[in-house]
Amino acid sequence: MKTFTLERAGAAPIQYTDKKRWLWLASLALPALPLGAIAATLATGSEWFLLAPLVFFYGIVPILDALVGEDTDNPPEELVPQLSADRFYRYLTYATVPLYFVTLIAAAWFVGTQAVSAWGILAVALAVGFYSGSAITVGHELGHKKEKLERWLAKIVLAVPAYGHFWVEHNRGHHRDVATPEDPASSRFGENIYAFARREMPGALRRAWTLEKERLARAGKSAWSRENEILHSWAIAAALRVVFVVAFGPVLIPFLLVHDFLAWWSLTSANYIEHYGLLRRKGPDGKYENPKPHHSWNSNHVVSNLISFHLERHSDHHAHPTRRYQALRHFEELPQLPGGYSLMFLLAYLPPLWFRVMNPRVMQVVGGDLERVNFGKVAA
Amino acid sequence: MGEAIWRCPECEWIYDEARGDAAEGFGPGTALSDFPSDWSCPDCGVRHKGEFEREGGDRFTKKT
Repeated sequence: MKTFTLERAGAAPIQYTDKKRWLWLASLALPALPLGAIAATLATGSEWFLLAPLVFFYGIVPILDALVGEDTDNPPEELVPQLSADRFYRYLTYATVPLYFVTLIAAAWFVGTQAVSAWGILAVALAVGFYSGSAITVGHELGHKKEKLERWLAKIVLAVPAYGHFWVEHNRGHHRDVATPEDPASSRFGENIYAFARREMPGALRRAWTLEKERLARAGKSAWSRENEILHSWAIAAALRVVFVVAFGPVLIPFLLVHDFLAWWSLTSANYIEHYGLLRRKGPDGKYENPKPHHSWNSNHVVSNLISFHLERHSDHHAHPTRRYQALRHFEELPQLPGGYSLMFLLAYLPPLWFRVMNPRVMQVVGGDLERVNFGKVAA
Repeated sequence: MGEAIWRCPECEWIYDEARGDAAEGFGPGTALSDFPSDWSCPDCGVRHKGEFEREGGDRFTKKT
C-alpha cells in the first residue's frame, strides 16, 4: 500500500493512502472477461459461457455492489498533484487499450473460423459488444487528458467500438451543454431510454461533426482534411473491419453490426443515467450557469466504480474534467443514484421502474422547483 | 490594449494572442474577444471565453 505524504513546515505532514490502488487492476479484467468466455467455450464446447460476461455485469456486479457497499474516501486536495503524477494509474489505462483489440480480434477469429451456431454468434456479438462499450470509458478517461500520447490512445481505443467522434463530441459538446435541453447526451425528465437513444446517437454524431467542421473552418480547412480528429479514429475502425471481413468472411458483417450497436448502447446507457432530468438555469445574459455538482448523478459503489475508472463520481468529473480518475472525489449532498451503474442500467431498460425510482429523486434534488428540471423545452 | 495571454481558470489551458492557436484555427494576433461567442475551453469544455483570466491580472470583460 503506498502512502502519499506532503511535508509542511511547522505543521504535521499530510498523508493519504489510496486503499483502491491495487484494486484498480480490476479494470484490466473487464476487456479480458469476454476473452475468458470464448476460451471456456472452446475448451468445453458449451456456448452458454458466451453469455457469462453479460451475466457478470448485470447479475454479479449489482450483488457485489450491494455486498461491498460504498466508499466515500477522498484524497486530500494537497496530495492530488502527487496522486495524479503517480504513473501507475495511467499505465493501467494504457494497458487496457491493447486488451480491447485482442478481445475483438479473438472474437472475430472465433466467429469466422470456429463452428459456432447463429445463437452463439449473437451471444458473442452482444457480450463483446457491450464490453467494447467500456473501451469508450477508457477513451473517455484518456481523451480528457492534455498529454498527446493519451489523446492518441483515446482515438485508437475508440476504434474498437467504432465511435471515434466521441472524443470531440464529449469534450467539446457534452461538457459545454450538459444538463440542458440542447444536449443530446443529457436525458430529460420523463424520457425513456429508448426515446433518448434515438435522440442521443444521431445527435452526438451531428454535434461532433459540426464542432470539428467549425474548428477546421476557422483555419481555412475542409471538414475532410487530414487534421479532422474524428476521421483518424474512424479510419482505424474502418480498416480493422475491412480486415476482419476479408480475413474471416461475410459472417463478420452481422457480427460487427450487432457488436458496434451494443457498444454504442452501453454508452447510451451511461449517458442516460448520468444527468437524468437535471437542468442548469439560464442567467439574465441568456447563458446557462456553469455546470455545478448538482447537475450530475453520482454513485460511490466500489465495485462498479472500479470497473469504470470512477466514472460514477460524475459531479467532480464535470466540475474538473481533466482531473485523473484516481483523484475524483465524493461530496456529501450531491444527487445520488440508489445503485451502481450496473443496477441503474437495468432499471433504465425498464422505463416504468426507472421513472418510479428516479422521478421522486429528481424532485427531491431540485426541491420541487420545476424550473430546475430538464423537460426538454429550451428556456427563453 | 496590446496582445494578452489568457488562462482557463479550470484547467490552465493557455491562449497567447500574439501566437494564436493553430489547432483551434486562430491565427497569430487573434484576440480572445474575437472568438465565437459560444466558444468554450478546448481542453475542459466547462469555461467559456468570458471566464478566462488574463495573465498578470484583469479578467476578460469586453462585451461580445
